[in-house]
Amino acid sequence: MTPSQDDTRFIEALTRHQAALEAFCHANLANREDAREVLQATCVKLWQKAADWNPDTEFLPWAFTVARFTILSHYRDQKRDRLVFDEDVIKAMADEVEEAATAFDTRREALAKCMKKLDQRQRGLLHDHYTVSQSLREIAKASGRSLSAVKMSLLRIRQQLSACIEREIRTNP
Amino acid sequence: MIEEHLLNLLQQVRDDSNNAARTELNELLRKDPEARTIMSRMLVDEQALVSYLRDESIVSILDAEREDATSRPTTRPAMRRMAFQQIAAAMVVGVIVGLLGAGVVWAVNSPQSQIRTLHIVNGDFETMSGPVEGGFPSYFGMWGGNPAEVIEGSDGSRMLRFLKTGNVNGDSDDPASNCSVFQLVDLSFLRQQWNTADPGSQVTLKLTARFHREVAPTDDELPKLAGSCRIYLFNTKPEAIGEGWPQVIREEGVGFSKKEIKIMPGDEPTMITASCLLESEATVALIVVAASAKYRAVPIELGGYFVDDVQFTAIRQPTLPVHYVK
Repeated sequence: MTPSQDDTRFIEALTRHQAALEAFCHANLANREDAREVLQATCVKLWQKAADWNPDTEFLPWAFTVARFTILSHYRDQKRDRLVFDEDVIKAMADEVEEAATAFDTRREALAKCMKKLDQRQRGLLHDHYTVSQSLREIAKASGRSLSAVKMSLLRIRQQLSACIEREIRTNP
Repeated sequence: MIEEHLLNLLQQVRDDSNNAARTELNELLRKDPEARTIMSRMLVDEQALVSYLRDESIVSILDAEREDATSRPTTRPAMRRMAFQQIAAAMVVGVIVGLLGAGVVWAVNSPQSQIRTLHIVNGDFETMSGPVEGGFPSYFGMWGGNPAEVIEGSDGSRMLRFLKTGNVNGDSDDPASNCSVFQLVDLSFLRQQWNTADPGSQVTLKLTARFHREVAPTDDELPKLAGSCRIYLFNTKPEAIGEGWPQVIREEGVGFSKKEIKIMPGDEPTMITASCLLESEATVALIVVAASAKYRAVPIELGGYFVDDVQFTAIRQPTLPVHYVK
């Protein structure tokens, strides 16, 4: 069976924007595991609703709307103590999250440049925390540093990266 | 600054499940539009960071594969090319299934991972002092190798100082390029605990150490001095490795990885990490920290070259980074 032209365009759009969609889920939930779970559920719903999307319109606003419903449904299934944001805060942040996630590709490109400015140790800390998923406590124990020192290092790196990303976007819009 | 405050609160909620921090964070976001904008960007950037690190991590695994494939002379099954093949296969399957319209396939780049720290005796050198045992270690849990010593730094912490290049199994004046210090690590516990033969998961070993070079009188003679971490994997008895070194690498080696970085006198301490996939048949890991003069010559004094905080970790991840949803 050959896919229709619309199916092909849908698959292309979903593949191209999947990272931004994941960022959207993450920005709403502030939890990577939940974001991945919601992303999967969202992709399934998008596929089921593929016929509703008009390939002549932008994909992301439509996909964000579907994702938002999935996030709220996921939210209601969770225990409150597992969640970072309250439901009304998720709704209040909707516009800001959508704007930031729409610019995901630009921000990631800026981040790639900023990462090159970090030293080996800073990159190591980010890798251990975000790739290997070590908790800050585990990193502190393994490195012989205090937990507060590791927390502070991570905070400083994140701030450094944020400032650098904003600078990059301003100077190379 | 509001950004720092938001990050702080977010960290407290995530790491400590701090309820007061959660309430304060939500209150702040409810009331302050600027806080909402900053928080949204911060979380999108965090996802960008995760995505960047994921890609970098996959690239470094593939690089290690390539290095391993080119450095290993034997023709064992090319298991270490598996990661690449799996990703390639995933992409092909994705395209085919996508075209058939049967469902949606996408790669999930960062599956759940588990991490174990493998025990290295005296990895921080804090309970050692004086010269390191000369020659190759023949049993687990001891450092041995070329001339090196454990010294106490000005802050009271101890570290290993590389003294002289040498040929670990040869005469003291044989040509050599490295000052290497070795330790054998037993992998049997890891094999039992994680069932490393399970094709559904793969284990990456990571050797990390902090290198530091101080200004020394011999620096002019050693412009290319580099620090390195190496991992060798074997399927043999630990004592056989020293006896057969270095031919044993070709005959019994099942895996290898090396990372080397040139360090200049007075540079900031540098973390060096070597990583390789754990072959299912490996029973022993040989970890090596070394200072290298980059050329073979009569043994030379190395001046102010140090290493500290040697750590060896294992990371297990599901093998196939693809999810299929019908």
